[in-house]
Amino acid sequence: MITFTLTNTLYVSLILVGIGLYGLLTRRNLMMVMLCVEIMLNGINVSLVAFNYFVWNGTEAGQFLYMLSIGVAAVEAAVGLSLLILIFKNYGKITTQEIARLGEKR
Amino acid sequence: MNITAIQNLLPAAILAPAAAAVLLAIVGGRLAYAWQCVIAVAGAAVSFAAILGLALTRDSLLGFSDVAWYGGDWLLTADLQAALVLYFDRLSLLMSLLVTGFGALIVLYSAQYMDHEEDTARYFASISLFLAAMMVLVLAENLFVVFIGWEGVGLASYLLIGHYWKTTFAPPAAMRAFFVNRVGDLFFIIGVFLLFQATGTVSLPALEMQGALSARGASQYDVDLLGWAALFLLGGIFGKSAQMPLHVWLPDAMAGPTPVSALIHAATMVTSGVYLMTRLDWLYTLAPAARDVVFYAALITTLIGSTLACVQHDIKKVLAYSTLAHLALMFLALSAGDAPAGMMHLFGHAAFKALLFLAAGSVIYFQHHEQDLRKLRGVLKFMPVTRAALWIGAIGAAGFVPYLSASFFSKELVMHAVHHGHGGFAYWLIFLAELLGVVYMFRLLGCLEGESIASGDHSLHSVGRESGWIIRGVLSVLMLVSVLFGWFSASPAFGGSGFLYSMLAGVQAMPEADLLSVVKNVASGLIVAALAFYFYRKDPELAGKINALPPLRANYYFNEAYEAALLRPLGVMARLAFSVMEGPFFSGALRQTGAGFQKLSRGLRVLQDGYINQYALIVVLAVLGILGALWFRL
Repeated sequence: MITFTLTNTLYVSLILVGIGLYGLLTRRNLMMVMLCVEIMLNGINVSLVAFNYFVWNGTEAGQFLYMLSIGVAAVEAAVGLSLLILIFKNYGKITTQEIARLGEKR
Repeated sequence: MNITAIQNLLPAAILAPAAAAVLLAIVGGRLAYAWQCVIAVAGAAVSFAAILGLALTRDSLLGFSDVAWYGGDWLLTADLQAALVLYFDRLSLLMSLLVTGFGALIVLYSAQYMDHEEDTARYFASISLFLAAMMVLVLAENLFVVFIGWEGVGLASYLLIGHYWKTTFAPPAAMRAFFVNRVGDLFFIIGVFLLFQATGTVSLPALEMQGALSARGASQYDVDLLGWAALFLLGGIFGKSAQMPLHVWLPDAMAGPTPVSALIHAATMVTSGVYLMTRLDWLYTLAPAARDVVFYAALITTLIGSTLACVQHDIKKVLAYSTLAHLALMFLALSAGDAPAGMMHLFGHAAFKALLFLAAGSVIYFQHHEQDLRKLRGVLKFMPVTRAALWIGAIGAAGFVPYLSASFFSKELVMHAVHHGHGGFAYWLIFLAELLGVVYMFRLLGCLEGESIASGDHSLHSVGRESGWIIRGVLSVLMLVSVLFGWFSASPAFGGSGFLYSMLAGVQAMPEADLLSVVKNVASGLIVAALAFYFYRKDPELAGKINALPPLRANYYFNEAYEAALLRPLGVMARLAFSVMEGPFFSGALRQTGAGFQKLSRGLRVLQDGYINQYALIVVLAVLGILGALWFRL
């Protein structure tokens, strides 16, 4: 029986970060890489909310940090997606090989 | 006028042309031609006026008292003291009058001569630089300041010889002049240090005083060291004054504009060696071996110059070889111990040779720079002033008319002194050289006076006209100066005043000319002149037939000898150095260094491969590493 405790919630958070990290390290598609980053971010967010519920209850500090993190994630997604569109326009593909050149001739 | 103000005229005489040179070099190119001329002429004229002012404020030329100007310390060590001092005695006075006077006249002449040329600002800047440097040379009190001027005139000479830098012949000629002079100057500076080693001073008046004592046995110098110093100094003296081993640059120097040939390569700069040797006359009295070297070198040079002048077709080359011969005559006078006679010849030569060059320039100017004597026949018909100038100059140079030829009595004295010192054979050789001197001068006149080959000759620019008023004016003044030098050089025994000689020699009396020798020289000169004039007027190709002799055609193989003995071995060494040292060593080391760094950077670049996944992995590993480290610390 899985109970609703701080430790178990943090395990969920760790699993989410682990999934994201795995995708970040293995995926070549930049879109997937971005999704994985988002997953990692959300894993952290889960831990923030959990800390708020179990430890800082009444201060709502965890909730504020979580909303700040969501805002940053939205901005990051906006910048990242526009970059992806530009890379797609220039190279026709959005794999990590395309931008690995960094303008250098191979 | 107080004494300080008088002293300040000395640097003024140098700074005026120097300022003109700087001004012309910086803004000259943007000024109108007329303003360039005005600046250059003003610089030379102010210099002349300053020297004239100095001369006139002294009591009289003969009772001259010396002036010095102290311009600050320069090279001061425990032993060696060479301050920036200018010094003005009778010899400096006469020499600087000559330099500035002729300089001003010839710069003025250039104003008309150069009016259709390019790069006139550079020309006037260089010639002003020359005047400034020459004044430093003439007015210097010690040998190091002399050396500043000595190198300065060399530089100006190089710049002016190479003035027509777009031609194929001028740049090598300039390079040759520069190179030969550098070789000479290397010996010169060694000589200066040896002289310092022997005497402990480089001040010319002090040296002269010590030398006079030493000559009387009152002072103990190391005579061997003095002898070596005298020999090494000869390197610079021969280089500048174009004597035998180092004479090869002077004929080529005619690549420069004609006024430059007149001023630098005839009247002033090439005589600076004679001037310096006159200053150091006491040294050569103590060093008879060096004196003998001068004698033989000058004897050979006068023969080389006289013979080659007879076979040149280029009017300026004739005059250049003639300059060689006359310079050698001055050195013969010095080597025979009659320095005033050498200086007297220097003055006369400056006058008639400048006159000849400028008259030749006047001819060349209207013939589109045609300098071939065979093609210039008949041009004098249209040019009365130039014709008179050429005749007076040629008579002055040929030197067989007493009172009219500025070189007559000085030559007489030289031959007398040589006969006394070195015997009859040398005397007759010089006599032969002088007869050849008559031949080439009257050959030149004969060629120019001859009838034009055909009236419709296309090679001759048919618009025969006299040069402009500036050129005519300068020629007239120089004609007057040339004749006056002839007049004032006359020996007292022949009714002359001996004025020039006594001015140069001070108390020393002018040696008497020998009546028999005078008669012989006048008569032989007249006959030879008439013959040369007659034959060359009739047949200008005569010289071409003599010129078929290979040694004459090749200018006695001096250039070939230098080529074989110096240039070719140097070329081999240079190529060897390039293939051994430069290629594998210097260049190779540089290339290896560069390649090494490239290899290193290529290795490091693996870390920056641009794959996001790998960056992320590195971040993760780093974080794990840090966490691990913290864990084990705990």
